[in-house]
Amino acid sequence: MATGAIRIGLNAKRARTAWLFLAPSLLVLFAVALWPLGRTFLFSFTDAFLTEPDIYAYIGLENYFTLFEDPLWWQSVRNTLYFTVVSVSIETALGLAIALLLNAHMSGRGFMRAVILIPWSIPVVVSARMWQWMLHDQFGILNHVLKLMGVIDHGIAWTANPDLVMPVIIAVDVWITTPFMVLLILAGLQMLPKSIYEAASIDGVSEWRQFTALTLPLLAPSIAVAVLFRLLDALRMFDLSFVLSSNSDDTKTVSIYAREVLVNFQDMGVGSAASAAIFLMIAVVTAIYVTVFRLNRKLLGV
Amino acid sequence: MVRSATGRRLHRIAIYGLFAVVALYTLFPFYWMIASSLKSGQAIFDVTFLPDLKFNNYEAILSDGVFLRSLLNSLVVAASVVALSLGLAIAAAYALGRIDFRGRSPIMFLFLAVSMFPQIALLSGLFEMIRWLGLYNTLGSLIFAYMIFTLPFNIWVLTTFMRSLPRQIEEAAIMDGCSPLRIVRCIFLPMMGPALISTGLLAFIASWNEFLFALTFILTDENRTVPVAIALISGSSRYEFPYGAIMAASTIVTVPLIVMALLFQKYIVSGLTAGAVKG
Amino acid sequence: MSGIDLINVVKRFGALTVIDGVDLAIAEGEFVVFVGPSGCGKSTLLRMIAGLEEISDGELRIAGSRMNETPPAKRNIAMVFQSYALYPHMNVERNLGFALETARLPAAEIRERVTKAAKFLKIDHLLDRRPAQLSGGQQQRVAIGRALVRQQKLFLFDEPLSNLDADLRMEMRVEIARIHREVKATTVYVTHDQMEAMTLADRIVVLKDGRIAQVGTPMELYERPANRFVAGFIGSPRMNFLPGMLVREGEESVLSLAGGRHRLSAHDYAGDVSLGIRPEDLILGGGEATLEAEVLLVEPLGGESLVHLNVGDGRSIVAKAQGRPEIRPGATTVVGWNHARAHLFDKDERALNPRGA
Ligand SMILES: Nc1ncnc2c1ncn2[C@@H]1O[C@H](COP(=O)(O)OP(=O)(O)OP(=O)(O)O)[C@@H](O)[C@H]1O
Ligand SMILES: [Mg+2]
Repeated sequence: MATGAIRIGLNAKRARTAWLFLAPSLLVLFAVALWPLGRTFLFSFTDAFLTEPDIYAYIGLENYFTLFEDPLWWQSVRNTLYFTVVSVSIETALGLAIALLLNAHMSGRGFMRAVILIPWSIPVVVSARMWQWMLHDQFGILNHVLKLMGVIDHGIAWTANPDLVMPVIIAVDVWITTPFMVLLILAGLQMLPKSIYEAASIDGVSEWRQFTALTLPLLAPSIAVAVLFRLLDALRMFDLSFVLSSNSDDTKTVSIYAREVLVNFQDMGVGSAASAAIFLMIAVVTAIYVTVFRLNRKLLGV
Repeated sequence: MVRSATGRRLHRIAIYGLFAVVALYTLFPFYWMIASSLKSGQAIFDVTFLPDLKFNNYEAILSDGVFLRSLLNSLVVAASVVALSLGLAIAAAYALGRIDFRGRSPIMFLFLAVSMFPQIALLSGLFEMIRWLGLYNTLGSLIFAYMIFTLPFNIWVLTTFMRSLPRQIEEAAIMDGCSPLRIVRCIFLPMMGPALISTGLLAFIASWNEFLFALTFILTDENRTVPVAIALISGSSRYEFPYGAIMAASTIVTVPLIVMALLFQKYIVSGLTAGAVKG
Repeated sequence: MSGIDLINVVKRFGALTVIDGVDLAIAEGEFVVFVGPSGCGKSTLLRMIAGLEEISDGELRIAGSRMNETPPAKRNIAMVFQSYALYPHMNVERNLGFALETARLPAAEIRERVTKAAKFLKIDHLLDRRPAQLSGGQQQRVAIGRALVRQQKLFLFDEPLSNLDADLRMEMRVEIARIHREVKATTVYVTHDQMEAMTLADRIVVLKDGRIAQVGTPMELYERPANRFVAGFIGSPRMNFLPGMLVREGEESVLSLAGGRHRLSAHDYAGDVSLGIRPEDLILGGGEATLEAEVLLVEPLGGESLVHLNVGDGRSIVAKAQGRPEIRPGATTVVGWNHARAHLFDKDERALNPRGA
């Protein structure tokens, strides 16, 4: 019988199948993520222009010097961090509250879950437009209601006032993404074992103590994961600022800054430097977050 | 904790009260969007809470070929992304979920890392790549670019799911003479309904809503997707801003998503949480 | 020509050796049963024959040719799994025909073979149902049918009946015996159940820690276990063991037990031994050799009874008696055996035979 000269084991054959099945995905991800990321870093050391990306010369760290000397870059970094910290904090607190509310065993819970899913599932652009219209200085419903209630007598220019525009953007972001928090925390809540609550109730532990001593620590991993996701999302925020207050420096995020340099000014070098800086910033934040989270876990022994 | 009957009733009323507040907070903007879209011409500038049920804005926006075109574009892009990313992810998930080979863990980690890449960090390199592929200003550029956030996510979720399928079923198929491709197609695929619906819906929503790439890689109106189209609607002056039309367009874009969210709530939530648990 | 030869076969998972050099020749048409304690490697060995596990070392031959690198589908083997592993989304008919469909047989032939197998297994009225709509026994029949339709020369079963209740197990056991009689395929069958092993097997392979402890017909294993492990493993209730000492005295050997000395024909071996006697070979009140015993408990099983006895030193043994013996717990009695039915094992647990035997 034909036993080939080269004997390939069954496991090796299966491994070959695995690589074969992975190849298309790996190829796509290489082309769409790894290669572009590498090129972005490479371009950040060149004087390339978007119109003719093939013609460039290496100029060392010059783009980074240009970038770091631009006060607008630092302002957009500050804006991004401020936006991220404030909005993620509010969303976490609010998300936890609503998740606890929805965890109550009441009829109508399924409906509520579907309702809160909606703001998250629609395009951010649409949400931005919707709120822009509600916050319109002359014809917006918000100013109208405030006037009716006698709180103000002139319409407030919510998105044009430099002091108000960031809080407004945060408020809209809270409206958009709190549902995401709620759903993840709710899923965590529903995985908690019922029996420990029964035991605690029998032992006469108050509900508030049950919440702080049982629910919160058990929920911490779910919350931590949800917060990480939101953090990554908030740090790269683009659409909301772009639509609600496109030209305001007060809400310019790093993503907007980088795209502006890259696309509007066609400066591929500095734009790529900004992109690379953002990548590193997010990588560092993620690494710190994951490390702290792991350490905490170890310390708490969970 | 034992509550008296009145105490319990108060508690229930309080919870339903809070439900109502959350629902109002969540839904009122939609109501206002729809109500505004149904007011014609100048009526939109009078604040009245009841809509007029005038469809002028819809007629205007739908007779505008560009908007219809962008709707179609969005649909094409989202559907293609779903099909392509699921197709690729199913194959990859079989390899990662069912086959024990060296390099599996590093690859899983690679996919996880890629799913955390900020899109902006890829913009200039991706720009070059898309030009090189000849996809600039085509829907293809978006279908290609959207693989960044759909593919790793789908691979993760589907790998977890594949791993949970019983091993002996696959072995029975192997003994029955099935090739790996046939195992995936005829045995696993039909068993993966819920996971495919979850990942498919999330990929659809993400592609339908994406803005940064759609804004950057598409140059001309006839190739735009809906979010960009809506973001770029503008009037001849600040005081002629066509809010009626914008609200009508927004409503049209939102309705399919709301229907999906309501119908498939369970799948979307399970997909989201499956994606989160991976971390 | 579809015998199986295992030649010094080894399976390693990393540093762990799970099958440690197995040599076995299975003749065409033979029904071989693998038994052994949990984790001893029965399934692993079977899966190596099937091609579901790679062979780390040694050679597997089917019909004389090396199969180590041959993919499972090309080994002409049909396999039945413990969990049935039916395709949940296909009805019974498609489950049965799926392998033939995969092999691109003409639809008419598929239908013919499926109908025939379904009739043979008495599941022809279930063809439209999904697996979830079947009872455990029916699912098992479908699983067997799926193997049957392929008309292979080689059948592998991995504990196919262990998920069934006792009645069904018996029924399916008879069914499997019938199938083997009619189909005459070479069969390798893994089980935990002695009854299955004893009734179905032409030969039984007892495995221990990845090695073959003994191979033989059911009666050989029962009558002449090669070591203490096999002796204890085959037979139910299990064999009684008593420690003793064997010494040579002239042309005879003498076995000293806690309760007495017994003269035996000459053995070459002298030293510590254990004496093994099956409960059914113990005789209450008689025998060529006897011990004093205190009755601990009598368990009537209907036609026969199990009598638990204390034979000094706090050692208890079990005797099987016909009917319901007239003894009460607490009573003292005499228990004995005939030398021909006793087994001796040396301190390495190997069976001892008298010189010349
Ligand atoms: N993929 C694997 N990786 C590592 N060890 C394994 C693997 N498969 C089996 N083993 C080990 O090999 C040994 C034999 O396993 P096997 O399943 O063959 O036992 P078995 O005799 O069939 O047991 P059971 O009667 O419980 O089915 C066990 O100790 C098991 O833990
Ligand atoms: Mg087993």
